[in-house]
Amino acid sequence: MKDLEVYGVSNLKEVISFFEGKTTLTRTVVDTRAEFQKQLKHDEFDFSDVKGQETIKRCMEIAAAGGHNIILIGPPGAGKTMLAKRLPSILPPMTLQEALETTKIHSVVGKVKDQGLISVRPFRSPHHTISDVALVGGGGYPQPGEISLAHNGVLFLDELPEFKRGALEVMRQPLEDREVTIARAKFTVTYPASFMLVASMNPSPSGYFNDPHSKMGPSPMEMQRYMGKISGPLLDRIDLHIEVEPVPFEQLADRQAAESSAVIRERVSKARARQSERFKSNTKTHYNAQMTTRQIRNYCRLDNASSSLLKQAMERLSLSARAYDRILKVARTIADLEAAENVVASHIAEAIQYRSLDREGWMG
Amino acid sequence: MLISVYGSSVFAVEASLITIEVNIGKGIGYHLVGLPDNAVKESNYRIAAALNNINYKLPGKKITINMAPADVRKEGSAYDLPIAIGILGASSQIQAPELDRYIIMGELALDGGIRPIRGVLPIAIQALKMVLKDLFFPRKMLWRLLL
Repeated sequence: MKDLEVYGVSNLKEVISFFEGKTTLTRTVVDTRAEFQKQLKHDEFDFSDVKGQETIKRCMEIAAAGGHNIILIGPPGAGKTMLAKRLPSILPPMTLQEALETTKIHSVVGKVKDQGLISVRPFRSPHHTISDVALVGGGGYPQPGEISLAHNGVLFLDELPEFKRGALEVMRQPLEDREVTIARAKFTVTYPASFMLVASMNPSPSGYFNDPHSKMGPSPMEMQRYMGKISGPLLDRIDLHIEVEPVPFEQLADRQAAESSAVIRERVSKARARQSERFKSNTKTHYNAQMTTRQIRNYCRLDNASSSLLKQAMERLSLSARAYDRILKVARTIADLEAAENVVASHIAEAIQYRSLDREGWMG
Repeated sequence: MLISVYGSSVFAVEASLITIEVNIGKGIGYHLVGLPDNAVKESNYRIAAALNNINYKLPGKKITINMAPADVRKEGSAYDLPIAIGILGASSQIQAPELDRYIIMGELALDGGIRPIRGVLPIAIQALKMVLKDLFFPRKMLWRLLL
């Protein structure tokens, strides 16, 4: 923003004498780039704090690299929330354009306080009592909701089944379109809402279903009711499902530090750079999770081995057409992490693994 | 005397230019038109007190303020500053030939101080597209407006 003169004033008197030509005000000049660089700090949460859980870290890395939605399922205390809180620390740094978009939304709600340009990806974790209006935005004079405030960042929904059904369902359309349109009789407002959904849940109301070490088992009815709170269409929109198991004592007590966020972020940024290169001529798509069907066909060409593998998986697990697309997108991200040109069978196989909730008979 | 000042209204994440026309003529009264919401309507109390406290005054004449386009709802307290400047200009308490070069936005405190407002970034981006206008904002907001 070069040609704009912006004056900061703190008193009416200053404004008056400026207009009368008695005093001059110094223009506020700010170097966005410098500001942006300065703020690219990273938070106190680091993946090196998490012991064990390597598969889940891998899954988070994939999610961060491709901007995929992810759900963590596991018993209480397994570390779901801990893992999710550390996700922002491995996300690739924001581009200036993204920072401007996000700051704009926060500016409209008056949430930009002293930090100026928001250059750290937002991490929003609303409590599960949130209303649907607060989540997607609305009101007589529509204000952006949590999903818009999480634009270009992470929306973390802890204890997903505890959210009101209505609130979750209104998120379905924004999850697909990456923007939300709020219509009123006189006008419609569109807020951008391109966020990464991270959800966590217990597998059953008591929390211990599927835990090999627990004796408490819920009744099928209880389970049915609990899982029924999350609709199929919503689960379908989540690319990665992963089960979190409690960490055994040996790993917890292990003094060796795990891989740090900085190292993971390095890999993620590289994979993201590869995606930016791929979609550089496209204004709407920036990373794999945003790919349209046509782009998927284009960039995720399968060889014979992988397409027969996928066919088998589709039939066995009775996956939907949307799940098929999701698998391809995730496979593309895995290939990007490996710097592979084409998607091959091993990528597909790993991506299929992450659809555990689609599996028939998951509920026992 | 009639004078125009520019402000900006933010709708969703887009800002649009608002022209604030202030006319001061014979008679008594204060009329604010152009679909203001309550926060905008209350501005006259803040403006009157603020002007008083810095030794200017709200003229005892017929003050008509029109915010155009008149069918767009104006909301929030950010119109205090442009209206106050408009009144001062229209009542010839200040001589300011260059008023129409600026977008002025800010909320007034009763002592004449200026408070932060919302939606500064969209306004700045919009102003940049229109090229001609410069901006006036509360200093507290001015943080790091990108230049």
